[in-house]
Amino acid sequence: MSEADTHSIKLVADRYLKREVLGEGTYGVVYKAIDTQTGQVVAIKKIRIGQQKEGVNFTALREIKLLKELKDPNIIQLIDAFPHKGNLHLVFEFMESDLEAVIRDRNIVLSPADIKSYIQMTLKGLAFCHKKWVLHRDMKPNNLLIGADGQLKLADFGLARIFGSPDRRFTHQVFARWYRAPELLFGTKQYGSGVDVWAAACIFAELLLRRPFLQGSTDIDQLGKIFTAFGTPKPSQWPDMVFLPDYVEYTYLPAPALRSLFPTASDDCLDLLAKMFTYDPKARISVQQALEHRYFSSIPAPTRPALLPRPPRKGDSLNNRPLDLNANEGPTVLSPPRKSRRVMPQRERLEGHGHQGDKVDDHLYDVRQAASGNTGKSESMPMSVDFSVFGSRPPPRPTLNR
Amino acid sequence: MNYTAIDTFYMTDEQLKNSPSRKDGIDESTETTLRIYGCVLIQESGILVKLIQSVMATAQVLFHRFYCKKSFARFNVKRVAATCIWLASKLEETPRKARHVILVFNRMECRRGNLPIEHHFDNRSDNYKNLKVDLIEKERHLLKEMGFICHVEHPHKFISNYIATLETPPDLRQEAWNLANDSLRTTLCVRFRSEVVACGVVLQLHADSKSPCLRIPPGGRPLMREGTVNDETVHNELALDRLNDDTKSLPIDGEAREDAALKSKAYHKTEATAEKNKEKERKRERETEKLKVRDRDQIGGGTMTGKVIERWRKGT
Repeated sequence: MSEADTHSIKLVADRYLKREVLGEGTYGVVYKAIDTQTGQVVAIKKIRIGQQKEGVNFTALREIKLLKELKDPNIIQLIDAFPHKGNLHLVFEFMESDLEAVIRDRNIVLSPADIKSYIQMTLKGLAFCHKKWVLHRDMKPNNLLIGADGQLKLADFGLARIFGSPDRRFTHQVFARWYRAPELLFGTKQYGSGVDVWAAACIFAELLLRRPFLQGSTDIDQLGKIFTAFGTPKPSQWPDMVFLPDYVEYTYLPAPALRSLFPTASDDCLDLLAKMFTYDPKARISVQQALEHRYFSSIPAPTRPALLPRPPRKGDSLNNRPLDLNANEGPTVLSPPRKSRRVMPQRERLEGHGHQGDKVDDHLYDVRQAASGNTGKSESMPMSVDFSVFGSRPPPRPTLNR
Repeated sequence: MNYTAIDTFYMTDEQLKNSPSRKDGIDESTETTLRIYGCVLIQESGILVKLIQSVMATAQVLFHRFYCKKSFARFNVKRVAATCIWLASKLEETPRKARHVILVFNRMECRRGNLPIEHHFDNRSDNYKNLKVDLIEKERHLLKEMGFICHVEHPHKFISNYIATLETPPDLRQEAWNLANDSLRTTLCVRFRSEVVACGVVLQLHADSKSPCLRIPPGGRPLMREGTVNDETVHNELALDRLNDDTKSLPIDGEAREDAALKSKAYHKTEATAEKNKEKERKRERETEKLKVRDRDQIGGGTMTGKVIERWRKGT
């Protein structure tokens, strides 16, 4: 609060009232602000260009260029962009949380309907990008932001680019490793919308499992993880594979039943997953086809965004954050079967009370956090076998160095 | 991507007639020549830094847009051209280093002025540092002037679509491509949507070819019926015609191009106004310019107009 007070007098560009810092990256700082002209809460991404040797940041340019055109309910809205005091400021709509926080929050139970809703919104945003011939190229839960109304929106278009021109060569060093499609790991330079579909499938799996699905420690290991999960691709499955630049042969592994990896998922769900995780990018389902898949039309219907379970707001509950760091040590929560969605009525009641409801929720959250913190320590490492061998916690999420 | 939401940067003829340059006393033909000159610089530098045509096209559109908002008297053509090609290289996903662009422009400057070519351009020299600071400054200026709307749509893709539909023979396709590239030297790109420009190119192509090789169905102009083209297209054609005449009068070989552009009829007519500009420019320079520029040594030394007059006086 004190930080907010010190900033309260000065306005950025005579318009934005600066509030607390939300995050920091290589490009600069993101902070919360209030637009004094409209009263809207916004997030401002401040990008330093003063010291930049190469002028306006390349990724910032990409983001501006693409987001100015991409207007969709499931894509983050770029409200404004302006240079100010040697910095470039990008003004975005303010988002409360992101999907990673949802997945990581052990107090949240995701019902199959909730999962369906989240993945549907993800795919809708992605479908709009692809319709406009834009590849996102950095799909991961951390970049899927969740607004106050529960709407999920695609954000961070710093790696995105236009595709569709024939014979254009792209870099294969895109996506965080865990979300990278096999053709990228084999070093292809010509790829299409399939790479985003693979990443979306990884997010889908992560929603089901409540932990990152394929956690490779190197690019080679990542491929190993993929092949362990789905079996080594046969030439009949993916004829072009052997011609890829960095192709290496892997020892043959048979594909285990998908059902064994996702014991809680429905048949429709598994069918869609299998289609999104198809090896051959040409045969992989498109986002539009995925949205038309019967998974989305069968029961249970996707939860309405406003009713989706959400973690406490980023801005309000900074005090709760440190506890969250232990989250990796707790037991892995698998998505419960349909019946155990017992927390729902209570949640809906709280939602109805608006602000007061939020407070109660925060309090409950504290209590639950404390409880889960205790149990977390007494329990042994529940993660997949690989990490228990090294006796360490799972590696941090890899990101791309920009 | 087809830009629809923000494809809004268009000027009316009146707006173009009352351009910022006009308010600073630069007449229409001078402005046209300066625009062509800037585009020639962009094209040539683009080839030298090994960029693909789409980058040059984007840069030229940015260039035209910028000078719809700002005056040629206040912003040096060469430096803006350098900034345009640099910014466009980033926008089109093939970024080039600032140093690379500066070196190329310096070299072009030396060649045009018949100056000894510096084989090593010291990047610790004041000259270099100033150019770089200016490049970065101008980039921000450019972005700000356009409200950060820096997308560009080119007529090329529409043309290739149209002529594929019309089953044009391959030799005419190259012709169409040339026309499209040439059209970027005119203000067409800030007056009409790229589809319209594309239609204009196709129609022009049809008018040029003696034999009816374009299979335009009976009943006339099918593209017009789609509602994408109206009377504007005629306009369009005319502008392209004019451009053809302009470019024909210029010798095409590299070095001579600039001089030819400068000596073209337009220039002689505008002597008086140019003289005025020069005065104005000098005054401004004295006030604001930190670096003491000698015309010859650097890309942006003095303005185009100033330099032209000087050379003209010397009788070169």
